[in-house]
Amino acid sequence: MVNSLFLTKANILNAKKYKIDWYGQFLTPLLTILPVAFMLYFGTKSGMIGFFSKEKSFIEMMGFIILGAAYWNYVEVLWNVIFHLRYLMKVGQLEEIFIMPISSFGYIFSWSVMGFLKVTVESIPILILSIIFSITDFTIYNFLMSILVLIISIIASFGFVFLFFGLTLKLKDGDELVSLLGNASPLIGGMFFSVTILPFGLRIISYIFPFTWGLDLVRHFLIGTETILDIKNQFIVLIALTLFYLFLGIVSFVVLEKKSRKNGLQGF
Amino acid sequence: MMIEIFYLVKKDLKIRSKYKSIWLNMALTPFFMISPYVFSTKLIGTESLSQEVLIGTLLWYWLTQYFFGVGDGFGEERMEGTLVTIIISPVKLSTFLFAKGFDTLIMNLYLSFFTFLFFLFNGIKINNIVPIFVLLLISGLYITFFSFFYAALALWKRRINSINTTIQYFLGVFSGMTTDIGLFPIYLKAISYIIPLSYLISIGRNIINSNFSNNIISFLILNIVSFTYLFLGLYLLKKVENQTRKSGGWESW
Repeated sequence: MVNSLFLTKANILNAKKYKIDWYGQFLTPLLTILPVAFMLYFGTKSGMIGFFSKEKSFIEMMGFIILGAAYWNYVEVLWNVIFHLRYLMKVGQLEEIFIMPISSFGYIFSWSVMGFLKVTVESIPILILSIIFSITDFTIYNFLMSILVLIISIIASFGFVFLFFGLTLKLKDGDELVSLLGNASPLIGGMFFSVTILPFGLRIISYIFPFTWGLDLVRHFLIGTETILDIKNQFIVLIALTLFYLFLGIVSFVVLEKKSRKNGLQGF
Repeated sequence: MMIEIFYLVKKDLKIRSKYKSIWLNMALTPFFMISPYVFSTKLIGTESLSQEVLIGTLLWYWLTQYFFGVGDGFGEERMEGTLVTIIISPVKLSTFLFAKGFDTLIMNLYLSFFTFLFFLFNGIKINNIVPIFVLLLISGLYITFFSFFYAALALWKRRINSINTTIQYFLGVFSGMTTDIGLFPIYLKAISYIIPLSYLISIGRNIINSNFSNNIISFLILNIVSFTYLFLGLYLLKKVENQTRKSGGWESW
């Protein structure tokens, strides 16, 4: 644990050296939602899109999207662990790092702390916007419930990290699968709109994704949207999926890491 | 020059063929990445709006691949420890970048095929698909020119690559990937007009709406803007190359 914290410190000191990285991370989440914001704003202004007068205001629609982006930031940031692993493979430092007296779980922990630190900085603008745009009926109970859902979602996210960490050690290009899942997540997780409007095939995929249920619950508690199932059943589905992915992740990680260390880690 | 490009492209394709997940990722990711924008229009707009956003976001996705492939071409080789080998080989840096551009074009054609196919399965088809594919082919050249400029910048100021994704989104937003730039206020239009992607998207939308005659002026301006970036990029590249050869800093981060 102490060694992992030293590794975290090393990562933070290294990250402090490259300030330009922080600027990019600060702006990217905003720029991700800006294309939709432009489409909605200018579309409404031009009269091309008459949707808002009938259904929702621009502010309400943006609040919905921004809250989704903020949730995704926290859930997805852990997956950067895999990109860091791949980076170490490419620059030829993985073997040196892996002979340090730290367990593999320790690496994941230390790289995750760094990720959470970065995501908190980068989420500041969208968190402020989501508060301005979204939280209409703020109560302590709803706020705490949304934090609880976020914590469960982060645990589920660790399940994915363990799974892909093991796969990357074994297959080398596991980062491509993480990239695929990361890019698919806003659609199948309902970041921009409710998954209930997705075509049937995509909806099935989105329902086996724990974060779909997590984001839906967070939105319910903070902006009062309707949930896919009733609250109790939705919590059961979220927890069941979280436990499933965590179990799958840990088992595959242990097996694949053992195999990879036996065969050697050099190369990419 | 052509034979050198051929061998460099062949090398990159052979390396990529070793990594099966890349092909899976490239076939599926563009669809997933741009579909939130396209499906949003299904919620709020019309069929033609969905097509307009699809072509806008697909062309933007092409740009992102060029910015990774060509723009970050040196960075990737440096990370893998092969940049110095390239520098001492009898291949010009511009030839090396053109090879990266050609390699990216092949990958972009591959991903576009699957993207159109997946959207078709989801009920969104593109009008005038053959001219659109011709546009995509041509756009490869113009975006390569633009990426040359970025590659030279990235060779000069190495850390700029850490904001590569941010720059890509910035370019996408201001070139009107989801919105007609004609709706922008004048100060945003001023930014849009210096991005070659804006003209490619405009041409693409005109093709979808069968307004072929409107493309002549856009095409002319596209040429002027793109060649300006190419010449600026080549000039900067030569300057930075000479500077780096003198300082010997090819492998510094």
